[in-house]
Amino acid sequence: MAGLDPYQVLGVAPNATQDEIRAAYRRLAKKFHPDLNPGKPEAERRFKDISRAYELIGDPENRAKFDRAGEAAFGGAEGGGPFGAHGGPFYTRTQEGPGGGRYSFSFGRGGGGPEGFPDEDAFIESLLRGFRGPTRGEDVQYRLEVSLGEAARGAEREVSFPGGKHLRVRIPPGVRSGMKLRLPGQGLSPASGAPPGDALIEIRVLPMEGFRQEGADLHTELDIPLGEAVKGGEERVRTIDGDVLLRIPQGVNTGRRLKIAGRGLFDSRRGVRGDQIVSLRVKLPERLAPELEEAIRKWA
Amino acid sequence: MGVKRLLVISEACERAGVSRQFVLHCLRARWIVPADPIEAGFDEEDLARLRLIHELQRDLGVNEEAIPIILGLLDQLHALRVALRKAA
Repeated sequence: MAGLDPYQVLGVAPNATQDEIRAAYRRLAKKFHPDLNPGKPEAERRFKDISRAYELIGDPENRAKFDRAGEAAFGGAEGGGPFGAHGGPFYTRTQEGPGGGRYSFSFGRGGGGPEGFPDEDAFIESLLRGFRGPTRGEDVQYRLEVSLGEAARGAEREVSFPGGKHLRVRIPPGVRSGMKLRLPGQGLSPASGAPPGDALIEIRVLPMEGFRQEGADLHTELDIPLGEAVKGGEERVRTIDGDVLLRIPQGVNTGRRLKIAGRGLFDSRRGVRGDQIVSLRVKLPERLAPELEEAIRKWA
Repeated sequence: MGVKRLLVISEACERAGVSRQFVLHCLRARWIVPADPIEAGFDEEDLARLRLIHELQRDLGVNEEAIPIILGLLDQLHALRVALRKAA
């Protein structure tokens, strides 16, 4: 469309503001939109010009381009614009074929009411469900027992699911009993081919005999012989990471607490592991050597 | 003419140049009832109607309440014109 003067088509002055241009475009588009003028081919022609004109000067960038170099600056591709670019027939065209369109047939017959349309909310609901895609498969729940050590350090475990599937499950450090790990997409697959649900793995941290939990710290007790309490020494101590040798200082008494740093549970808030607190219990021998008994009697 | 393949929502959005949100809104408002309402398949009529609603709102500044009025009047007008043509 060589020689189209967008200012003239829209009926605005060359120095009109963008607001004035938009207002003029809206006014004319309302008047000549082909869908609002069924059966008037001249409206469609006018409308195309209006759309093209608005495309050329409707936004400041294009307008500057047009003012500088004219329509040639747009590569001559005609029929773009907000309407022309929509890539399909106008609605009117789809409704006035033989027998009328589906919409005008449904709406038009009854004189305006939506008679031809299913009216129940259930219908709309099912429709919207259709758009969300078929429903997901069900989630499945599993239980996984982990040791205190695994809970503290984190672990990877091979888990067998009913149905023969094996999965490596990563257990993050700091899990507690009752926490659920979600494995997306590892649930049931519905027959419809819809996406599967998730697998939810509930963690159960197995208690360990002799270990009492207090926050991230673990408390244990250790019996030491009297001699060691007096002279000091070394004791093999069970931790959730395996045995360690604990140095017993000289002259300890029952109730003395020794700390094994970093052998407790994982403290998710601080990002470090707690400690193992070992409470000592001094054990007298079953039978005191006579010399010792004598010495104690004297001392007491 | 062979059977036309209906479009799923993502294709309909792309072809009509509208968002998924917009299509869902039109469905809830019952301005659009797709050609296949069970499997949610759209045809050219649906696309043209979606485009029209979009243009009415975006370009012509028509507000929410006026949309169904305009659509209803248009549908009656189309039906009348088809009936007139048959009678002629």
